[in-house]
Amino acid sequence: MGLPRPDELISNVNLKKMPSKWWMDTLPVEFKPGYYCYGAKGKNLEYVGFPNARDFHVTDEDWKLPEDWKNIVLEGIKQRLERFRSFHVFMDICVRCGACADKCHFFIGTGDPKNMPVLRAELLRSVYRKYFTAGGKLFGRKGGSRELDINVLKELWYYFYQCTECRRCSLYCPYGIDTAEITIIARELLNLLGLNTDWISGPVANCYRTGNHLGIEPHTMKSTLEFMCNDIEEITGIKIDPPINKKGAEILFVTPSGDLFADPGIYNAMGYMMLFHEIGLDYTWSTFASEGGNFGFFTSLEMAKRLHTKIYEEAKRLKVKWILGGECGHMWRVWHQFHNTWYGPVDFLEEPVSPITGTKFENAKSNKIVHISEFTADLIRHGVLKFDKSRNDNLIVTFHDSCNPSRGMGLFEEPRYIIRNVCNHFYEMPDETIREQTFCCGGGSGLNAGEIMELRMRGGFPRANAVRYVHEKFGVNMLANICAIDRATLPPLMDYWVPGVRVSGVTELVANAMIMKGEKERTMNLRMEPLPGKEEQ
Amino acid sequence: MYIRDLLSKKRKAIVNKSFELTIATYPEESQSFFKESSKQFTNPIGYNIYQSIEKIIDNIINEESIESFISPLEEIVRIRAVQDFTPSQAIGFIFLIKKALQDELEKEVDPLQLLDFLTRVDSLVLVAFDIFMKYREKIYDLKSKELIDRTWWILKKWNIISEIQDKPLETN
Repeated sequence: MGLPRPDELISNVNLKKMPSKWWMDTLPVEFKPGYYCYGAKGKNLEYVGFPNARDFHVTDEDWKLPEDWKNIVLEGIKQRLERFRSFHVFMDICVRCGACADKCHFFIGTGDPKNMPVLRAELLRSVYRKYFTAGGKLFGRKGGSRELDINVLKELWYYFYQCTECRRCSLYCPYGIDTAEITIIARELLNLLGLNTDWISGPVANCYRTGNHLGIEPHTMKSTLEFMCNDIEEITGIKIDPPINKKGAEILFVTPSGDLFADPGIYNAMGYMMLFHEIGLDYTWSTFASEGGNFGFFTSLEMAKRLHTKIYEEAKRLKVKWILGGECGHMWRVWHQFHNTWYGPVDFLEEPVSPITGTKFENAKSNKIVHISEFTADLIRHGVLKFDKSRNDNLIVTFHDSCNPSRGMGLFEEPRYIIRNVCNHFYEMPDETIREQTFCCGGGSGLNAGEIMELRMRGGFPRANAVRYVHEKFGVNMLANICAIDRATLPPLMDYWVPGVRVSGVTELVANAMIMKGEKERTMNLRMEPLPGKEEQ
Repeated sequence: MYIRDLLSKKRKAIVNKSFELTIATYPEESQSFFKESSKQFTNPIGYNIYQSIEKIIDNIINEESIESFISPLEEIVRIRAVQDFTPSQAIGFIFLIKKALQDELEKEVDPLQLLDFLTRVDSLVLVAFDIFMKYREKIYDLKSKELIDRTWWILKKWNIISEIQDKPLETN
């Protein structure tokens, strides 16, 4: 019979019947829809002066690279080896022990060996060896080195845009190799050829021009905040007039622009304004520094610095004393791990002191920015805020540690402390999936694009799997977090793997439970859903 | 010996063989990792596939209704629906379970009886196909819902669209 047996039909997947190939021999990569981001638009690259600006289409055979592209990459590697000792060390010292191999959520979710952090890094290391080490030059393939050609370049692009720079792998590396930094450098090299993604380069250009990733212009931002305040008034009876670009305010508040537009981030932005109103904080929003996030960080360190600078320029212009930062992920990574290297201690702002409690935030002495969770936890600790926790009684909450605030800056306790003070039902996910071992949402570092939904679903599976455990065991129905990308990516992830679990920022939970001076009897939460016990009214 | 008794006797072997054959559809370098099926949180794929195959085999042994297979099949299919598989590969693992069943049973069961039994196992492929389609459609739902979540609120606030109010307006 000419037809194959069913098990023969799927045997071409693997089933050990295929001759096993060495990883170097599996080129070219196949760009399947759902697993790669769309390429950058020329206009966005051009706007910020990125090289080789043209519309980049990933699936085109011809990537329209400059003629000397290979030299550009090799020269780029050389410069970075000289400039970053860490990169040089990371290229040399990996002993391929495999400790990181099964720690990456993309590997766990796919089984693709090139998603093992060690092998992902090896994709670049092999090129490094070939052109920059004697061993690589002498021993060639046997020495783990390979020529840089167009297929290798495409492979680098494919896999370094399948890393969310979450750094879970780094936690387990006995040598402390930070694979995220290897990804950062690899993306810088790709950026030299204009090989950026639309989802990253669009926000970068918007942020550079308008001040935020979404391109929200000042009048729109003002109206948006006012719309939110109308809703707040309807819910609480309290009219808030949001301070915008207020010169001489004590504090500049900066948060990711995702909180100004998208559900459920908007409820968090409402929460910020309610909290600041309640404690009478002298603060201001800025329509210029209207973005805490920094997608420039996913292109090059120079671009990240260019975008980051506007926040301090604005702090200077508005003559504030210090900066308060909202719930965001990589914004804090930039601040905590890169800011001081770029600028050194900021010399024109004051060491942050809470005007309400008098607490000195000594940890923020150098860069003068305080995390909203630190700030809120301090308020609660000093008994400044009053809560009716029962307003959150319909919520059974768990907390997802966002990669950057947890692994990047060690912010573990504050959000939990806040949640315990504003919610009666809080349950932790299993130990190996939280705090410094937290699993990524699957969409960090600019990988929260809609076109890679499949990639996000499989990358986010380890996270979702742990949520499902507490959903089934304790009835958890709310996944709280302190990151705007989480708030954008976790809702679809939950819809796919754990229907029935919703997503919220921590400040939204605070604002729901907070009893405000002069408020009317509340019957709705910030999402305008009835509060527990008020369903009939 | 009745098939059911034989299945009960060989349950462990059938489960393990089905699991190993299914895991063998993944890249060779990753198979040893996926086979560590007890790590519920650090190897969710291996764990969930093993648990589900166990449930499928138990349901076959206990002659459960076809509805009872939906949940364990869903566990496996929705994972494979977002991995690097073609649709046929994503659900084809059922033929591997069938193969495991056949290998364990064929020496001791009458061929006609075995043919009837295995033909019934084929029905799981149809169930799996429905599940696969459900989750692929879900992916596209999520894409459109994500777009709506990102824009709907602002369209309403700017009066670009005007929805019917929740409460009926008072009319005199």
